[in-house]
Amino acid sequence: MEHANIQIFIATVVMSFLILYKIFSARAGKDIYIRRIPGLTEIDEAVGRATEMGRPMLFHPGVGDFTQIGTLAAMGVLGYVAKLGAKMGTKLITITAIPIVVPVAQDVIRQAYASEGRSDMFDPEDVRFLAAGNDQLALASAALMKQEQTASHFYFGQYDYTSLLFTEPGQHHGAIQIAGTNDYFQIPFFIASCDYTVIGEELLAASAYLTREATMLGSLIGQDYGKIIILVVILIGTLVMTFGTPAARQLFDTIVGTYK
Amino acid sequence: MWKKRLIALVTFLAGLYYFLEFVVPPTIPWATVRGVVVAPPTKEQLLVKPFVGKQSIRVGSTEKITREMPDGSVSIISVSSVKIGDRIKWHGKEGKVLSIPAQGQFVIETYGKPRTVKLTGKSIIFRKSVSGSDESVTWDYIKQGNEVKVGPTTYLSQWQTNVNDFFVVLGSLAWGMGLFSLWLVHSTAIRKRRGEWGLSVVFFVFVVFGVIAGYGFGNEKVTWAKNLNDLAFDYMLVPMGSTIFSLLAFYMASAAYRSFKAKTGEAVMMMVSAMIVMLGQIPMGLWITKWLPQQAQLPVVSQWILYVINSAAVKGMWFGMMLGAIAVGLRFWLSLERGAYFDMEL
Repeated sequence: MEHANIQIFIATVVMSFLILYKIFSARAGKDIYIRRIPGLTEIDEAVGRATEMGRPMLFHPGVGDFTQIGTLAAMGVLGYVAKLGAKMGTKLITITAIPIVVPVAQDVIRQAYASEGRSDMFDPEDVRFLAAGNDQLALASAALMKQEQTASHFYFGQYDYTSLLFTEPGQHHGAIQIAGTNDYFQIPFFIASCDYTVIGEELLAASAYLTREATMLGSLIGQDYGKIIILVVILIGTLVMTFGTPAARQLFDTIVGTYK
Repeated sequence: MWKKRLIALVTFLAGLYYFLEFVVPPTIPWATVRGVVVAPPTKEQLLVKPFVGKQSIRVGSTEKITREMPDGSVSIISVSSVKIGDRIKWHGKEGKVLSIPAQGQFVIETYGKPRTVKLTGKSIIFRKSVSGSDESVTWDYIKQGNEVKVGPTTYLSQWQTNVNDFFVVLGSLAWGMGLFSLWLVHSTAIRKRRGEWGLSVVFFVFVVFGVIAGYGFGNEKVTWAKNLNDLAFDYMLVPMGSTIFSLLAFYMASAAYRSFKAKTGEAVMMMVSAMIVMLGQIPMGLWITKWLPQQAQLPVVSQWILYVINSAAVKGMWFGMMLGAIAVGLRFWLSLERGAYFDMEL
């Protein structure tokens, strides 16, 4: 495993401090503005559509396990979709090819249903480990769409080359599809085959956006401060490397350093 | 209540270990010696020429420099061939190149007097590989001329395998959940005679077939089992997987046909750049534009789009995603995550 050098250590501490500071200061109750993220806003629409049509929804939390941050973020979205589905009385089917996701997803859904007073809706069969491989799961999900006549599909999490194998059958099936991934290679495929796409860090901000908890929104503000710092460093670096003297370049290189 | 606290405590401790393992060096910094091995090592000690300071040297463009390779061999090279990380000798000055501020000017990390480093049970040796990364090795793999880093361990990295094994075991236990889920779905389909329940019967038949075929995996003694294993995995599963993968080509074509519509200016720009990039990947792209100056030829323009414009956008996304990952990681580590599930649990 790689180890941090002094510059990475300082950067990690500074970014973490900023995020934690904003998380705790957000609890003071100040209103926090967050821009609209269309993909996440339309989740309510998608759940409503499935409810109107009287057909179930399909959720796939990606191809990663819990060592991937995208899967953790997807669980947050799953909880929200399940809660909304419980409120509207719409069935949610969750599919996965990762065995360890099964018990966690079952727990997330059970808790979401319980929070809406609809514990009776929970069925362990609705979280399905359909195949051990992602491409086989994609084929199984296509069959499931046809069999269960799902109306709304949600794809959130870490994805690989099989992303299009999941979303294209859904597109042909006529379901409304919302996808979100932090794997930038798959984003174009989701944009081409889904109705709404949540890109990159928007997935990681999903929990904060959907719950509107002050604590979570505070972490988004902390992230933005971190981005401002990075932008300033990039700007300074660009100017120094383009117009600076060799001594200035050497000094900047020493301060910022390269990850060794 | 105790369950919530236990979850929070275990989460915090696990995250703390990985955080410390990342930020704390593998060896105690002030007791670590970094340098070049000057004599064949023994089990008890290592003779090392340590890096001690920095010096700037200016070399004429026509002069030659001696470069020492990681395996100890030397070669004579020109000034322009020197790269960062090279170990060089020039007119009695020797060291490792840290930076090249200008042509012929090198900032080198110089050597001190050779010193003996005692090797104990707590010592870890890292050797710089040809690729530039540090690899942990034992003393018998060290040769004269190797660049090494030796010091007493902080133990965190040594425990990493054991900690990771814990999660592997946990993941293995989860396989039982997956198999149970499969059994539940298909047995219910058969019991309730749901649509295409016959396929669920076929599923169970092939589970049995797969278990029997699995007995032949690597089993050279029982020929029928090995043949069955080859049949199941090499002649059935692999071709079926390839077939599913090949669907991707058709899905890509259908997705592109549906999505690439030049309705707006941005869409036109996207289509034009997509055409340039695609044609630039194939020989026809060069054939079409071979009469143009090199900078205007399709492969060159295609590479420029990919590695200049596109990489800028991708790197911007990466910054955001990495910061988002830090934020999500911090929220989970410190049990600050809120939502339908986490509110109930924590």
